[in-house]
Amino acid sequence: MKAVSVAEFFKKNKHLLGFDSPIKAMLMVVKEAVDNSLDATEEYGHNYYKKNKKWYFPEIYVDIKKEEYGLVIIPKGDDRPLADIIKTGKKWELMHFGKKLRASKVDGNRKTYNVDGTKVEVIEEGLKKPKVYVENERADIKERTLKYRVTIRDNGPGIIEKNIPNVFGKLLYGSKFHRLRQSRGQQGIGISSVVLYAQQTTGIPAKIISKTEKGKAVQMEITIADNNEPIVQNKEYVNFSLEHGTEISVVIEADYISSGEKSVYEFLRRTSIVNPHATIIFSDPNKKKYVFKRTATFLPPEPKEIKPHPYGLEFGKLKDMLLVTSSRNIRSFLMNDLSRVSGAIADSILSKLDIDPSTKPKELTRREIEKLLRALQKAPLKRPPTDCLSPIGKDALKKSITEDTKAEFVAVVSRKPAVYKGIPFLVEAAIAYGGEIKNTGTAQRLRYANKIPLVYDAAGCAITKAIQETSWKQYKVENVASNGLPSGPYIIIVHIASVWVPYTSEGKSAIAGYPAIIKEMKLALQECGRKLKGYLSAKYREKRSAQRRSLFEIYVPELAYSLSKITDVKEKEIIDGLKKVLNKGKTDSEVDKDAKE
Amino acid sequence: MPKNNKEIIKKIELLGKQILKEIKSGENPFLDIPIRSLSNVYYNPKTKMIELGLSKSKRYFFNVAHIRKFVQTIEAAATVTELLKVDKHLSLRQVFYAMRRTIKGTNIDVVDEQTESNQAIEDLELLTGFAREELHINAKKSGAAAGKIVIKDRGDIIDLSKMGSGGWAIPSNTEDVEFKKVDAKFVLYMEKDAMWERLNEDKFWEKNNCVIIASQGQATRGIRRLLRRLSDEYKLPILVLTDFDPWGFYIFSVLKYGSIALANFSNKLAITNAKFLGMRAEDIKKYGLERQIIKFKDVDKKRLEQIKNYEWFKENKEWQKQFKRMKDMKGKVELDALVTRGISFVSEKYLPEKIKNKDWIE
Repeated sequence: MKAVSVAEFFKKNKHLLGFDSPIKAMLMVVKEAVDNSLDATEEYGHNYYKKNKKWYFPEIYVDIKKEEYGLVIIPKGDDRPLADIIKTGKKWELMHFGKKLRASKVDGNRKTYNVDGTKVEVIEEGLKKPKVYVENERADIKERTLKYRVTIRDNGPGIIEKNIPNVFGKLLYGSKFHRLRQSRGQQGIGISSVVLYAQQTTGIPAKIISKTEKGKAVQMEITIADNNEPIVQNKEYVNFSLEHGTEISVVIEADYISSGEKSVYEFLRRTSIVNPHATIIFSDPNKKKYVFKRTATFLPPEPKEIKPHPYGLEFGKLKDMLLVTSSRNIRSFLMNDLSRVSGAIADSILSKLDIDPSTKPKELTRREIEKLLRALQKAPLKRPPTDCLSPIGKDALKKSITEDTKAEFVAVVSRKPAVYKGIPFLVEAAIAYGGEIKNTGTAQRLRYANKIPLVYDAAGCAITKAIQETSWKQYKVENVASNGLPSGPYIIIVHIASVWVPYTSEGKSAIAGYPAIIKEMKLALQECGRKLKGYLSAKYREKRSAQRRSLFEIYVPELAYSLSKITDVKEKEIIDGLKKVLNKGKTDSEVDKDAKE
Repeated sequence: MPKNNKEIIKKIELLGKQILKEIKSGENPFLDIPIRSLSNVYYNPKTKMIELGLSKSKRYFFNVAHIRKFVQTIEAAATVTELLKVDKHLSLRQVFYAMRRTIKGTNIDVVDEQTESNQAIEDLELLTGFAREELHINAKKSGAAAGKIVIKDRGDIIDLSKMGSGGWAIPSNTEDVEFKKVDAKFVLYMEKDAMWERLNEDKFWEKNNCVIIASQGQATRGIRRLLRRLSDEYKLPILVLTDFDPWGFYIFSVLKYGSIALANFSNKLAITNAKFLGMRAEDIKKYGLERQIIKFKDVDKKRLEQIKNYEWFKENKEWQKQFKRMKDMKGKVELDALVTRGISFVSEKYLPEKIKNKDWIE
């Protein structure tokens, strides 16, 4: 457990965490909370199965409500908003850059304000929108939602009371940071950054309710101090609708969009496709309810934790590990804390470097750590174990995709694990074609990492690159754009599962293009392509054959008619003869022969 | 019914019987059609004609790419059989309508455009070996004739020296025209109506004891057959008069050696001893027509280059000389330019002089 004082830093670097636009911020809040909920509930589900030999499935509720409406004042002849008017209770108040302004003059229902030297008058008219004058000129006012309340609730194990403040109120707190295990969250930044974002945009503390099986349901309001310590403002025991689980509720400034790739709806839909074992219920700001039903009847295999493989180690990481290890000496550290280092290898490395095997890990010098890392990475080690990965699974994925897309054909490939830089990963890919899939030009591409959809930065993502580098023409895809992306009623899905997904940035929206990763993705897509080709060829063949046959049938009586005229043989006799030939299949398939004429 | 008609009907019937035989034996019925493309056409130096090779292509009924043409060809055969039985003629356009019908239960027509029925007729010509005129299908009539010859056409006796200013309109089918009295000593064919009008007005054919024939541009099949028969049956020299340009040369080439498109009928149409009277390179200087040269365009240049390389012209020194001089001149001269020397210069001086001196190219 390690705390880093970064709250202040992240305040100034929202974009690093993906909160750089109002639409993206909405999505990030939902994503981080759903990530956590799925991770926790799955883990609970596996433990439950071990105990009860029965499955327990995640149910996640996402609820977005309009918390505060406002009006934006847009002065005449200007397109930039000048200030907001917010209704609190029955009163209208003027907001400027997040601060409430006080009226300089109140005259009945007419209030006068000074906004940075600009005179603004607001005339309240009961329930109707107020009239606004800027420098004595009538200004436009537009409605907009300023704040949303976003609530995510899961039926997971719940968090014990004393851990709640740290989980939600401390950046980089987390059991995940120093372990290698396939999970959605990786760095232990996610959910606390949501709390921080709420705190920064609305100042309203995050409300957490959690209940464990044995404990009481507790509610806390949490903010994060500048020194990265949680501040619990209100704590009370409450009633909770579930036997156990966790709910986080934040009020944020953000934009809600109802459709499109970057919408919450689409994100949840995509999440549900690759998490067929979970039910996701979504209530949108207009109180419309969507249910993404579970289609799987069991959980995906439990991801096992593995130790870092030396080939994937970096200096800082090794140094950190040496500091926090419970191993007593460097020899046992190498054997127990790292993957695939045997006693013999540890001995030979240590003796070559002239390091005493009984040295305490903490006591290694900087130079010694450097030398040790170099030696480890040159040592002849076995590949890391790969049973630590939890694929969605071919059948579960196929069922889920078919259910969601109502496609006429779905091909799914789940590759065996591979390794990049000493880190195991595996790729799953799918292609859905036709049926109810709309042809919207370029094929839809659904990118996933550890069962979570990637929405932004498609262009910079290894998945996009792998799709573009696959020669779709070869697989009977009729239209392929010049950038290599297929066009037509297709959905292409690529999922990478790894104990450490190499994102291109902290925003976790694109996969870095390691050659080993792109290669695996292409192999998966090619295999899907071959299956697709089989299907499309058969389909085209059938269509052609039906067309040919009906064409032949149309012309049979015509030939009989003409032929009868020059030979005086009865038409019927000729028709019967021709039909016999046709039924025997004696037709010429070499369509192109002499066709040029 | 004329005897010839019966023979053709029989031939078409045989064709149909062959197809029935294939159907009966359970095979995909096919037609063996001689290939009409350039790859199957060659110049035969022995006969001095462009001839069709022996390559054939099989057209199957049960083949997506062939079926329509197959039916069209047989429908054309049925239409022709009917024409021959009643001894009537139709034009290409009328045959198109005769063949056209909508296939039951569809919105597909047996023929959509006249090019389809035209092709079906050409295929039938190749399959039967009879020209379309013999199949009672006529093209537009074109061309006029006048001169010292008496013919019989559909029972009417026609004296071509008594045809007034318009001349005898040459029908598209000249196969059945009978020659009653032939006084003419040669035939003069020209590519321009205007030249014919000039010579007819000047009674050139009377003064020079010949027949004059013209059509605008390429000679029709009917004219070519007529010329060929006069050459064959009365040994009349056929003299050809065209513009001094690559296109004029080609008109002569088609008359003498046959054409690629009708290579299958060269043996009926090519006039192997046709003679090219003019215009020729020498005439330009001799008659002072230098000022009348029209500058070559790119297409003219290209066409000249093609003609120069035709196999039948390659070894002919006299022709190669003409081509070279035209190339050097970078221009062409029209027959009509002779008018610059006087209205009747052509009929009174140019032609009589040339014919007297046998000043032509073989």
